[in-house]
Amino acid sequence: MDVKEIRAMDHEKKKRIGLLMGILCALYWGVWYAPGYAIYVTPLIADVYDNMIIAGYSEDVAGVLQAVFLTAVNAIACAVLLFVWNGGLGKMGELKRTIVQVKSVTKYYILAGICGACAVSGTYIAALFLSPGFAAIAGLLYPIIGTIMSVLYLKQKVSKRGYLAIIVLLAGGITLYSGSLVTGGVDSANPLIGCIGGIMAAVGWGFEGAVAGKALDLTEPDIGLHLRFIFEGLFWIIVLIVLVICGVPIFDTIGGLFEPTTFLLVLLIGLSFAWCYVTWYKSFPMIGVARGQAIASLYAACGVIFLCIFLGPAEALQYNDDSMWTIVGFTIAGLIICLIGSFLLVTEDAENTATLREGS
Amino acid sequence: MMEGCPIKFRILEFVEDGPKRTDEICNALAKEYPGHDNDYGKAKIKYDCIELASAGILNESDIVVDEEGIFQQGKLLITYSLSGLGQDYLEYLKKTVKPQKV
Repeated sequence: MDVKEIRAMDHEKKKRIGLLMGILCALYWGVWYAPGYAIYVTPLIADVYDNMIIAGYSEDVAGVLQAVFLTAVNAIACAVLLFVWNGGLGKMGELKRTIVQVKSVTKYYILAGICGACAVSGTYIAALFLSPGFAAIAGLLYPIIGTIMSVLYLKQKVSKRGYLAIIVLLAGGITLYSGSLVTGGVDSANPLIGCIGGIMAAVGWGFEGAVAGKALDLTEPDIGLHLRFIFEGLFWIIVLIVLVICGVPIFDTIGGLFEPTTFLLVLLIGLSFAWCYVTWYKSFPMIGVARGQAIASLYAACGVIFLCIFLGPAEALQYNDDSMWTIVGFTIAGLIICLIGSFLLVTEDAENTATLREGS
Repeated sequence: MMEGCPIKFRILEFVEDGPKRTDEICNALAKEYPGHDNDYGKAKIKYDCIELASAGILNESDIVVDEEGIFQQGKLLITYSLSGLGQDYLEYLKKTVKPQKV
């Protein structure tokens, strides 16, 4: 085999690794929805809402504070579990070397952590105040912002086929969840808060990808995402401490964390979300932020599939006898469109992703 | 200046004075960073070079197959040099890096 052939194989392998990471991200993200929903009925999260109501807060405020608390638990669980991941990979030295470089790279991860905090809490708020379907659709808009930022800010190139695949994947994801919106609309006492949550999700994840992409040019993905979760965890710890100082009873039932089922669910959301991010960040240097985010948007399809497996189709898709065919039809159409989008991205010429920027 | 800093920083500084091949970069840096002077550590450094080239920070040239097993038999030995973007990043790092005691 000559050099040219080995080189073409290397480029193909690099593209495949990037796409595989994006698909794994979508799988872990989809899996995360199962413990992510289940945790709402555990004493740890359910009692936070009840405590707020008893303390005299309105249902809206109680809902937002519950989402904040859950996002904080999620981020802290991820940060702790990633110490095991990076320790196992022998990368703790690199973590120490990177965290002190605040002026050069770490500042970007502080920003990425705050953007991520905004996105995850936003998606919980949108799910609570509107519907999980709306939250998923709002979240799916993040690759649009991510793509614009990666082209304008990171100067990464995207081929016409890449753009087409991104559009098709987004259309597929949105179609997946459109059935419930078409049949039932949105039943909410305060849809404005839900809409703000949706915007927070799309803008937060889109900007996070771009900001993290900048720092990933100069650091290892495993370290980068761990720093991002450490800073998100610290951000939420500060927010929670401020809330406690202000007299909000947010920690009153924190002991519920050690109830075995709750602890297992916290571990599961931590593991699935941390690995989802590990693979998300690993895909960026290989195939670029735009493609990485687009392929990861398959999480919408994976989420539907895993929720159907764990909760049953009626509970997962939230249909009744009247709306069943519309919702199931939209879901199947969405899944097919997602497959077409993935096919377009997977069959893109590997030379397009050989280098993510124009040579200089 | 970049000794003891994140490995990608050091790779940029290492190739500043001229193009270097995969084996030169990996062998030299593996000795500098504790716990890296083994196959796994060198593979991690090689992967960092691949990511830097993918990002357009390093340019690739003089690609040969490692027939003799100098580094990894049957794999490519690539000569890396700083691209224009790599030069910009290195200048940025020189202004912002916090030097470490080695």
